[in-house]
Amino acid sequence: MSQTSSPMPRQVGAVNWIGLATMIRREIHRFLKVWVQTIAAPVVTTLLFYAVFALALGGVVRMVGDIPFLQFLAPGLVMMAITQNAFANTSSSVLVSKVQGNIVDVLMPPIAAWELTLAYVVGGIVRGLLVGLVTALAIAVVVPLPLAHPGYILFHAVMAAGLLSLLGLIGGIWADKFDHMAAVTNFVVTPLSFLSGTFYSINSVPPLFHFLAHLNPFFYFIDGFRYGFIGQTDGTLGTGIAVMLGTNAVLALTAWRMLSTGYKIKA
Amino acid sequence: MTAPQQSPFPPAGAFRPELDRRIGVFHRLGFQTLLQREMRRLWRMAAMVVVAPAVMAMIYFACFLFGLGPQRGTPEGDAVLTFLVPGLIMLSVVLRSAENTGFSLLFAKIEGMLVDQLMAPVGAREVVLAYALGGVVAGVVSGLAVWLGSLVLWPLPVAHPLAALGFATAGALMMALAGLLTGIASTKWDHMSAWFTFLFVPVSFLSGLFAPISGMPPAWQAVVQANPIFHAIDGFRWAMLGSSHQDPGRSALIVLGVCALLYALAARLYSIGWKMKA
Repeated sequence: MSQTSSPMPRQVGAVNWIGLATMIRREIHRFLKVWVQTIAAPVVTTLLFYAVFALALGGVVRMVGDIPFLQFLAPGLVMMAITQNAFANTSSSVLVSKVQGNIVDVLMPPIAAWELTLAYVVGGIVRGLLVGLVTALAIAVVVPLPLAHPGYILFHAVMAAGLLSLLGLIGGIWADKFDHMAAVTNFVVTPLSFLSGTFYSINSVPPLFHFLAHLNPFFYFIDGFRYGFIGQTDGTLGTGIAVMLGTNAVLALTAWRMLSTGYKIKA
Repeated sequence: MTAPQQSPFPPAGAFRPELDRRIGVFHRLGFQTLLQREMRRLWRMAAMVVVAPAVMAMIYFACFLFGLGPQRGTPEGDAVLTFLVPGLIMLSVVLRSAENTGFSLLFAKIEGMLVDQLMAPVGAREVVLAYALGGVVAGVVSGLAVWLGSLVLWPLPVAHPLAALGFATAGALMMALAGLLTGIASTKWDHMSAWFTFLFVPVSFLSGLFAPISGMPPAWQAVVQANPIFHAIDGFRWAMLGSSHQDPGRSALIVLGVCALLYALAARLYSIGWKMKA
């Protein structure tokens, strides 16, 4: 050590806090910069759905169980907005980086695979929750939304957003072009989120669909989330929580494994 | 005038001396070439044009079917579903045709190949018609796909098949021209998606698509009446179901009138090169 004035490499401990914070900041800044597309547009679309379904199916008197249809519908639509936007955020972030080639800037720095996974997921969760919050506030202007169990609302929102962020991350790593991602969105995410009890109580559908709904994680998000608002559930909350925790764990491991082995992202 | 060809698509830019190069009032070869380009583009995206709208329409339908709750299976419930089918077909037609022209033009603009068609000896007339026709084909094909899907879920006899095709074509033409205008006006993808999210989708959704406008408050009815998409959908609904909110002749006149206005505007903007020529 003859030249003591030479710059020392920064020591990274068990957690690269600066790297993690920078990645999270980038993920959030990325969507906030185009907030018209990432926040305002989904809110408008969701409110449109609300208006359309309320007009066509609601009537003023229609009830689902003891709950007015308009109150029943609102949490489902908010949850749909949360999940679709969490998915859109991570999937587009990774895929755009891949297509434009700047994913290398994420892979080269000393950031561990789990830190990358976490940063992407946090970005997706923040976008999902922001869209959900704005949508819920807008709906609350028209229809009073009770808050029966706020803890359930937060828990299910974070769990669902996390799950879809992970799914988007995995999809983004797997997809080679935008067509692949559009196919996943059109043929997997949208059908699952629409046919999951957003618009109806699954107790009123034919037995086959009732059974299929219980295999669909979206059903548990929406059911538990709705329970948080109106205190009425179509399924079993405990099963739902177990399904969500389990699915999240499996997806997190898969995403972490993909990022650490560089599947489809390192040549 | 053309020799028989082995492939439906001759290689792009191939020199074909047998073709007549004199340009009359309407540059037919230029129009044909542009239309062929639009058709090839459409063919490459066939899955997205045909399958995605059909799947989406089936999902909407299922949501309504289950969403009916206790009304399901009753005459009132059936009436809601019957009302819904023509609306879903037209939703696909109008959105798909607007998307096709708008994205095609904006893509050419962003990728810098718009210059190839600005330089070629084709006028605004040929270009606008070629784009519009491409959009009409995309819209009508996606509408057919949704209709075929509806035959599985909720088969309905078509009262006036030719009129149905006519209203679908007219609605598609109107939205193809509107989409072309947004393509001309946009310079970034963000602009294009904003046009759809904040104008086309809300205007198509709030057009008596899902629920009869007779059940709406009078003020709201007046607003919907001013929406040209409402007239396209209402006319199409008459053609399919044999009954509608208003006289189909009036709907047809309004839709065709709006088509003429949009065509004139698009042709004018294209010929002055607004946002296309520096």
